[in-house]
Amino acid sequence: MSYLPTGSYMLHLTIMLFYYVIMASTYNLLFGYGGQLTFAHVALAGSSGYLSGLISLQLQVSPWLSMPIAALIIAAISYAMALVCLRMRGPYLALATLGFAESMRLIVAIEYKYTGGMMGLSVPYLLRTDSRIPYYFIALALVMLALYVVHKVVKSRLGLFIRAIREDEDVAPIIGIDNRSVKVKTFTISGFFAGLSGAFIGHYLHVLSPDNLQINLMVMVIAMVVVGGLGSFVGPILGAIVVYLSSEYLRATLGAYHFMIFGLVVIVLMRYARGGLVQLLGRFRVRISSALHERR
Amino acid sequence: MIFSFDLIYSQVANGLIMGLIYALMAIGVTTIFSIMKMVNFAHGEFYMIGGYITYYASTQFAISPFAALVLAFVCVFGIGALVERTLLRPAYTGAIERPGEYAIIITFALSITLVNGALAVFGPFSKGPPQFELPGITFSLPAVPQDRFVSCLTAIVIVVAVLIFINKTLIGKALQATAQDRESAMAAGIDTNRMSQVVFGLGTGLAAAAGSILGPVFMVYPDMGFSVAMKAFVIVILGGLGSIRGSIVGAILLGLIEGLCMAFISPAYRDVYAFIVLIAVLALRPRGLFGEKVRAV
Repeated sequence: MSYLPTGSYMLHLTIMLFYYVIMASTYNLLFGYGGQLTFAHVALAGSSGYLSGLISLQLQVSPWLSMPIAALIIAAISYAMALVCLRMRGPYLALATLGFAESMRLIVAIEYKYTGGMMGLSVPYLLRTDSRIPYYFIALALVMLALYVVHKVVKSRLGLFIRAIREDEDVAPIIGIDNRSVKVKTFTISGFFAGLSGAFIGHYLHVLSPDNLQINLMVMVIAMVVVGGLGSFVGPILGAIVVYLSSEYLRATLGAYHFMIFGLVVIVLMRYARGGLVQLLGRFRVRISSALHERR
Repeated sequence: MIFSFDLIYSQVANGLIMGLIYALMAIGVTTIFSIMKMVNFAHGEFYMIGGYITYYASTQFAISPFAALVLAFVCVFGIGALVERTLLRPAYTGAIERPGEYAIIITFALSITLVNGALAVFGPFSKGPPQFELPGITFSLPAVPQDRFVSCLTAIVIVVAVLIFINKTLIGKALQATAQDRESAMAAGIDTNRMSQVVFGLGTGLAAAAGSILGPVFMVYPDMGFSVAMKAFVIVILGGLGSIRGSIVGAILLGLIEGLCMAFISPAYRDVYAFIVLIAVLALRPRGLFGEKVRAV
């Protein structure tokens, strides 16, 4: 990667963008490929930030150690959640995971003795430098890792099974797919990356708040996947770029209205263009090539 | 933990009162589900709209809170019918693949849009509409504040009205028919699309009525609907999706459970108890108390 944005704000944007690319791509594994509409992804990442922060703070451990530990704990929580939610579909799954997410946020907000509650929590820095450049490279490495894993899963037999479950959950066992094992693996893998990236971003941002776990952010991640294109590999990456950058721009110009715009965008896209940008770009390309090939 | 009878009684009594008012929301969700087979995730926001309409009607135009309640119901009925026609109709006319997922996302996105829209338009500060007062009733149950008691009575009246509507009127019977078997209802000459529209308007109107009733109690602010809606969803799942009886029983039960847990464990975790009930029901008896048996939840 020879491109190196060195302006401090640009670096910050890029690091946050990498975080959202990881979140959107791994959520796409659950929802886009697997058809499991869950609401716990962002809450898991936020909780991981708190876990890693508290472990490194209270147990005097280096963040380099507490990050993977937090990620593994979050993976275990995702595993447990998958087991509880195994037989749930559609609105039941959505409600149950919404319940998990909100419970996590409430616990973080209420237990202020440990978490600082609404006043926030200060967590140790990952590195003792003022520069953002090392964080950029770490974030880059994490993104590469996450995308590599997602790519491998999608191309593997597991990926095939995940998509089969999305297509028809009842028929999949008939052709020999172990629904339970596939779902559990999907939840755990995506949960692990939510945990890893959440812990990293926590130590990067240095201050945590229960607002990191709010549902508005989860909707933003869903918007990224929907805008980019459900169930495509490139989709969430495109979606994350478009949604995150416009979110920053909108927040600066429109202030209070910016989440509302996302809601509207998701509504319009779901209603008229469910394949997201990938589908729209594909249609555009087909039209151009058919226009070019027409013989008069 | 302080085991004082007064504390337990007051928490339980207030829990029950709240539960009966949540029942209004829950009936809305469950009737929408029974006919449209979708959960309306924006239900809390219609509650919120009802609250704001009541606030502005009774402060700016100085009409009685009860009249404002009726106004809120009628307005939101119209809004709900419009939303159903534009956004939700494709979900069950076969124009969309995977309608279940579509319904969840679009109602959830609608919810976010409405909350943030209200935040932008009305501002984040709570508004306090005037209380509901009935000239004859100046009493209340012990430890229950007067305004909550009157609100609860109003809610009970509305619930009874809804039950009469569903069971005794022709439209109510058409709604029941559509819920039981959509295709047979169509064969019998019922316009099922119109029934969907009516039920969505009715359900959201009930949510607005609940918002109207609880506005003076808990104040009116943009995300007032979120936790109330979650309680309504838990009640509906506890009672069984599609069963009005289940919603009423579930509401009373949740009110009781919440009150007891708040008294014995901690009042701060009030919303978490509902989630625990939700997970327990979904894991152990997904169809709830009065729901139909489902092979896969």
